[in-house]
Amino acid sequence: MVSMGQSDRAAIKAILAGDKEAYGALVVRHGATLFRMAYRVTGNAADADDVVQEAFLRAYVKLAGFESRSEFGTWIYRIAVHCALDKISVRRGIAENTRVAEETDAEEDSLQVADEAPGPERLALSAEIGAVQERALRGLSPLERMAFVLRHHEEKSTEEIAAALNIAPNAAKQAVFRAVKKVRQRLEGFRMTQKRSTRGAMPLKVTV
Amino acid sequence: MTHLTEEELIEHFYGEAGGKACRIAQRHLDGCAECAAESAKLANDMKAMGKMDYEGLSEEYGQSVWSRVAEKLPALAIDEAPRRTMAWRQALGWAAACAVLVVAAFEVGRIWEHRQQPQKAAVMKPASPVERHVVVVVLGDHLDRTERLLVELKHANGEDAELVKPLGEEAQSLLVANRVFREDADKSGDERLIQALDHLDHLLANVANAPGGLNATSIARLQNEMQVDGLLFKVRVLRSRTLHREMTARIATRGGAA
Repeated sequence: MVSMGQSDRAAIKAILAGDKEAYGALVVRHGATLFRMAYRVTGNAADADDVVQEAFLRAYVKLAGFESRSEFGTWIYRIAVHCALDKISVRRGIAENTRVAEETDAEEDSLQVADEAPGPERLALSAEIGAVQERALRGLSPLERMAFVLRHHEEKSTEEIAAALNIAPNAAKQAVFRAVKKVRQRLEGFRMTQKRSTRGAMPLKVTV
Repeated sequence: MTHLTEEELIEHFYGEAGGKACRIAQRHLDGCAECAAESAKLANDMKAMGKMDYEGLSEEYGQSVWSRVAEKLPALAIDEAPRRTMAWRQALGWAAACAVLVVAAFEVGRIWEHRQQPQKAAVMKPASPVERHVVVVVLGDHLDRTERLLVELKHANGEDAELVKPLGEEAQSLLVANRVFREDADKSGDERLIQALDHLDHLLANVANAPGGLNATSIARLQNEMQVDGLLFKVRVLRSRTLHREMTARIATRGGAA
């Protein structure tokens, strides 16, 4: 049975001494936090759940090398950030390969907004996360998306984002800038499309 | 008037700008309607992105994750890690100890050898003078050498000291062997041999130990003695006889042949 009274340090000490069950206390204590972050990054509960499990498994393997001077919560959070980044990178790779095959207009920075036919995956995502938000985040690179979520939703500072992503603070700040600009462009395009749709117009393309 | 850039607006929105920069930006926004409108638009856009919270997250979520994670935990990852680390540390400890021992042994050996060298040298030096050889001399050969010495002595005139000097050294060498043969001759009972060896002993001793070395006077005296005794003749007779020719004498010498 998982003991909820144990501190993180005591739990780690017990695990390293051979008490595997003590790891349960850490999973229960930090699982929800990791899930919220992972859900915002991946956009759906199933992927977020995978990220959480993967993070705890990775952390368990590396636990012997965990330096007790840092907090376990911070450490596992960073591991989860990387797991989530891996998840959306793989997903984006698959999506891009599909889109390259489908798109005939390869003009860069062109966004197909109004005429995007939602596929099963997109529908599923839209069902879980707000459609507007999901569309706005779709144009971001995995790193930009992660930086945006950490800044905007998780309310992390530039230094914390840099540490979590293992990049320089300035690179983290630039990633946030690019992400916000792209999100705003997406939102603007979405709004224009909606206005035209309500007037019965059929604008299909918004050039960024 | 310089308007705020989009980056500055974003920094201001998230409160990332430092204290002074934040105050400057706020002062500008208070006085610039255009930038204030941009800032409001940014805030509106970001508000549209919402919190993106998952509504269905139950309080039991952590427990459900643990129930799934527990099954997948690698069995040996934690249990063996400290043991493996300990084994590595022990191995490294042993290796280090062995290395220290080898180095220490090498150093001790080097120092010990260094200290022993002068003693060795001190011991070795007196050893060489006492080195001795045992030479087996055959009586026949002894008589041959003696005859040659007597012939040379017979024809020497003693004018050149350097020429007669080797005679003294040769006589010294023959004297040692002669005394051994003389002692052995007593057992044989050969009177001629005993008598001849006695005469030889006397002569060789005089040649070897002539006072002031061999000179014309001493050589003349020795030549006279040889002639009176017929010593050269006696030696030739003895040498020609087969009896006792194979008699041997063991002579200890220093470093060289007798």
